Amino acid sequence: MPDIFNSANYLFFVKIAFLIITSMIIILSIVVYNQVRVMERIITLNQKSNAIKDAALFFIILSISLFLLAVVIL
Amino acid sequence: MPDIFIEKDKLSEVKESPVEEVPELNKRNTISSNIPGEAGTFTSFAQNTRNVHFEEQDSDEDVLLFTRAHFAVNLKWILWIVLFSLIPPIFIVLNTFSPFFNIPFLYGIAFLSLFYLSLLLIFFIAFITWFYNISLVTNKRIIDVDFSDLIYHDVAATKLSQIEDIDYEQIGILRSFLNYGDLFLQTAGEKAHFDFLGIPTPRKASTIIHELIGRRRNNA
Repeated sequence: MPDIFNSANYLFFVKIAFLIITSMIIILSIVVYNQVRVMERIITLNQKSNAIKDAALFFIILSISLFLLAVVIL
Repeated sequence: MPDIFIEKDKLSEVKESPVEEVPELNKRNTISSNIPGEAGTFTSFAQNTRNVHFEEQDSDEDVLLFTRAHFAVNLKWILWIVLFSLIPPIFIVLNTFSPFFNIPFLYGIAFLSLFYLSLLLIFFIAFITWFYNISLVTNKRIIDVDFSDLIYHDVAATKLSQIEDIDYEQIGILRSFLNYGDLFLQTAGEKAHFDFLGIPTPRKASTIIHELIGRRRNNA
């Protein structure tokens, strides 16, 4: 049985903590995207592009990428 | 000296000179300035905006005034984010000269990415909080959109006829210097207060609303 409380295994805990924080950021990005979508329905500022909505979507993609990257490299 | 005798051709020209057309905008409900404004991403104050629409807008309802807080109100959090973004480079430099924390390279990269992603997300949330805090004045009502938190937004509207009192205040050096302040509307409706916080030229906004109320009372 692996000794997880051994100081040599602290990286295991760091990885878990990292994945938890990243998944929280993914959830937060989805909440932000949803809020932007709701607000755009309430008030339409005729922009030439949907920059705000796109930026919110970009955050979701970025945080998911970071999560996957952490799973692979750490 | 006036021309008494004008040639026939010239006389017809004078008679047929086109009468200056009244622009369509003047016939509609507009305020002091008839120049149509456009509400862009960073616009804080615009009159007679044609590119702003909201849910439940009537077909004959025009947005006469569009306001959100002056961009200067964002300076505080922008400064904080800039300061926080300097933490990792300082930490890296200190760790290089006198290593006190041994982090594997890949972990360092991952944590750096996580840190800046979080910072960017905080930046974005603060920006959209400013962006969606909008107040609109139409020819029929006043709409206040509050987006003070990620999980809270409040949209309140009141008829122009229900407004009882308007006052504004500009307190502070920066507010006086950049000419922005708070405008408070007291209504007879369910929501007693409508607060337009940190809007540019609150005096002008107050004058416009006074003008609209006066116009409505005269029409009634």
